[in-house]
Amino acid sequence: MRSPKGTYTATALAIGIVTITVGCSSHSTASSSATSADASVGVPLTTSVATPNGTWATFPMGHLDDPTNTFWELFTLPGGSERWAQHTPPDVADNGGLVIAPTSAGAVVGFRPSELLSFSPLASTDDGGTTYTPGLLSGGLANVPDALSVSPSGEAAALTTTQVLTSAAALSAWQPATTVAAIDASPAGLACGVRQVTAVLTTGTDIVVGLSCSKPGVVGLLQRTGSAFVSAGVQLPSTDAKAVIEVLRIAAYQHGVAALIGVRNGSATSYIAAWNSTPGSPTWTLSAPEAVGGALISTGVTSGSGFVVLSKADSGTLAAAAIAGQGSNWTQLAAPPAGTATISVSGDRTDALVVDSATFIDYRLTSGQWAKAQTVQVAIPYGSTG
Amino acid sequence: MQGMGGTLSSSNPLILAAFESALRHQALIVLVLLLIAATAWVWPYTAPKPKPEAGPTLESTPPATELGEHPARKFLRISFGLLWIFDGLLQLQQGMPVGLPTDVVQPAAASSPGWVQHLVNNGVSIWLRHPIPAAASAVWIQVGVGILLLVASRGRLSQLAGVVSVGWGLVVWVFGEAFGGIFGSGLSWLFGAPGAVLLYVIAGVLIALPERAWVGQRIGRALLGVLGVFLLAMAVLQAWPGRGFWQGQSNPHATVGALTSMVQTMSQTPQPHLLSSLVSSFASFDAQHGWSVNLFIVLALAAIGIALLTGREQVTFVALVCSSVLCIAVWVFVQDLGFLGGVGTDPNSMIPTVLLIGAGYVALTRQAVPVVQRVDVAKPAGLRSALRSPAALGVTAAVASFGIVLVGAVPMAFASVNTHTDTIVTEAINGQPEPTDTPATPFELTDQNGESVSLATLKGRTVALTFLDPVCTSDCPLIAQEFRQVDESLGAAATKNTAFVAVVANPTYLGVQFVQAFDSQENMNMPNWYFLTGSLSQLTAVWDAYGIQVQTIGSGGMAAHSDTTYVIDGAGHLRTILGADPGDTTTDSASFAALLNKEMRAVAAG
Repeated sequence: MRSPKGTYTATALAIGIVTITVGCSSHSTASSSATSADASVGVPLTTSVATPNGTWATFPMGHLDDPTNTFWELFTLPGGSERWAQHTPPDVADNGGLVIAPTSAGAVVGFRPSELLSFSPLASTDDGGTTYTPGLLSGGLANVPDALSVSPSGEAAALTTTQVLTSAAALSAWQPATTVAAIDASPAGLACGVRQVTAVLTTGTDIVVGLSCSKPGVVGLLQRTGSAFVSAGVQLPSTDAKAVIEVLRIAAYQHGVAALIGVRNGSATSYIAAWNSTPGSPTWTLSAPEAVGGALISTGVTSGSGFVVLSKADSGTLAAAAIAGQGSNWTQLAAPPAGTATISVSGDRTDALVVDSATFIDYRLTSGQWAKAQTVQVAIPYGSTG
Repeated sequence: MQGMGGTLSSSNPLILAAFESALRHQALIVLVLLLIAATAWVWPYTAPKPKPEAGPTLESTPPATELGEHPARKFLRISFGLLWIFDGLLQLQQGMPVGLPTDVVQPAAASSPGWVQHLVNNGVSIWLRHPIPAAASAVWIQVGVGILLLVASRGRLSQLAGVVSVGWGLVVWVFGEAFGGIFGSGLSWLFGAPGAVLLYVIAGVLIALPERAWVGQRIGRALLGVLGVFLLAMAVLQAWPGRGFWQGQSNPHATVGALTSMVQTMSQTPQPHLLSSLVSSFASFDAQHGWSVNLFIVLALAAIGIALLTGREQVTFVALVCSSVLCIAVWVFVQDLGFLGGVGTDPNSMIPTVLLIGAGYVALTRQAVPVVQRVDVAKPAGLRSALRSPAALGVTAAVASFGIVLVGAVPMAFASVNTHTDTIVTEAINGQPEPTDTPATPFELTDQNGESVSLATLKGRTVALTFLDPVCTSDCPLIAQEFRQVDESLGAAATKNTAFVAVVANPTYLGVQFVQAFDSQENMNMPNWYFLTGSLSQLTAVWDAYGIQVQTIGSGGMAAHSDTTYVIDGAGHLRTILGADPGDTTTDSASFAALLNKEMRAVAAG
């Protein structure tokens, strides 16, 4: 029988093509992975915020693998109270997430856009979430926990995907303060190589924005001077000169501004807290870096100008660390219980807020051990969206 | 109710009834076609055969011989004809009108690039705009193609059957199978790559070839060569690391391998218990021995591929046997027979793969047998005599089969160019419009511009009145767009005579600023659009008067409210009540717009 030489050639050619094709796609995947390894820490929306009036926490519940059946809930722990209470603001679907901005008397909660809603309704409360007053942001809040900020005197700043907006009072008459494109194109933005604007803060007189930078070693923390945004002057040690740096949180405290910075050095992630007690000056006090493995899944602002981070390893193991405030050191917390969505730290009370579909469980850290303190069943409105 | 998720179910009684009705009507047409064909068959025999007269009016030449149909071609024609008929019968399943595009086609395209999804979504949109004619058409096209392949055994009509099979196969491959997923991630021979219907297309191409092409071993070698290369390429793909095929599931918390995951999913399909047990068992086996299973599959594919490429008869026979065993095992244990679950459209790729390999083997090893044919050279004495010949019977059968294809293809063609959505979709979700004739309760509220608007100020105009939540994330924006569509379709001349009115249906977000934000978001800038609001007590009074329930759900849910639209005539009378739930898809919205358009025109006409 004749040897089918042509067929062999075709075979070799086809296998070659398939190999090259698959090889190329595999290579691009590998490239993506490499990029991913160098990528920023990422800013999860899940958060807790401790204020003198109480502690606020927001996290997703329900069927987390189905966006239309994932609902973000807001829990509050009033100052002096022992028990958490669910106070999710009503009458807007919050599948896109909630953003909390503490105020002097309570908090403003922003609904992130989802599905066909492109702007962000707001809800403000002065009574710990028992009642809410509606408000409106003309744009859609960005997908970061510090997309909304309210100063003690009532001025507000909001971060959308394209703009920074400000409101003089009453969460109305929002005006553009700058655009993300303008920040990108500013000298400070160019020095950073902006990947994303990650946070905004207003102190009433100043506006501070946080950035995720693509240029290694650059801390993207900018403050408004006149109409321009310039570097706030945070410098990390030279050991982080090649690291990818991201401002994760910005918080105001009694004496100034605090920032939580994520540092990605190769595959290692560490966190640095920075404080500036003289607003406008470039003098920042930095904490020692705290290495916490795994992917960041939640951040929190503690009472007393500190931060708490919660991360999850590929194996599912959780790790958490907290820093109380300027002059203190990071503390590794006991491994949080499985399913912990966020950690809150208020004074000497530390809680792990665990979510299991429609069940909220509060674990309190007592003598280095997590002890179950409270369980709340939430009436998740499955099927109400979409 | 808005916020409570109105959906269009595959088992919606109105859809089912309409589907059955369409099938019955088309079956009647098919019956008529078959009766005509039967008449054409029988008619020549109703008169006595003319006796030969003294003179030779009907001369016959001595019997001639010619090559019969090649056995491989006959095998392909009959086997793929039966497959098409089987697929057509599967299209009779009641879940097809709604379930096929949303449960089968869109998921099939989900991992493909944007341009593939765009293309597929265009097809899905056409289907969903006209679900009944589309689903019914698919039945007759596929049954017709199958019968055509079976009855048209020789000549140009048989080649035409191949061409029709290729044409429809390509339509299904592109729009139904998203190119068999070849542009998507997770491509695997085990999961049906390169798409079962592409194999039907290959068979169709071979059937469409001139019969002289089947002389010798060319087609056998070429077919087996192509299949050999394909299987080798699939072996390489299967072996490629990092695609999830080398792992099972080492422990319950570990990532599940691609094959294990697929088989676990298939085992959840509604099916006989015995089959689901078999598939589940294999899933467990693969979870424990994922690496070994993949190694076996890679080696088997490579070995069969190489064997097919040799072109040697004995080696090819062994490859045929091995591939048959492998394909049947994969068909049962991985593909779970492919057609179960209520919206299965075909038995997936393994059976056509085996059939193609079998046809290649037959084409390599067998030749067409000469057949004796009587050739009448004299002119037939009239049409009746002409129709007595076996060839004429075949032609009649083929024409009738082609007619069955057209019974499906013609409505399908009309549906594909008809941009107006059938109103049955919204009627299936919301029920049919309810006629009424009662005075509409007056109201006076504030519009998006801060101006007072009452029902009295709209007197003389046909009003569409609905209730919308300005901070709603799903239905309300769709309903607003439906109103826009109706306004556009009624035309500029109707602007002065119509009004599209929405009343706020949210107990908290009821300020004018929310209405304005909604209008800006939805680009609701028509001059006859009024989005009305007021105090909670004013709104509650209107809600109560029109039977609209508005309730706070809490826990992150939007405010729930009734999705109802009223059509009010120029005299201020309620004339029609329509459910306005847009359902799951934008097509449902288009369907509501078509229905509202119809009702507003009817009310305006008095």
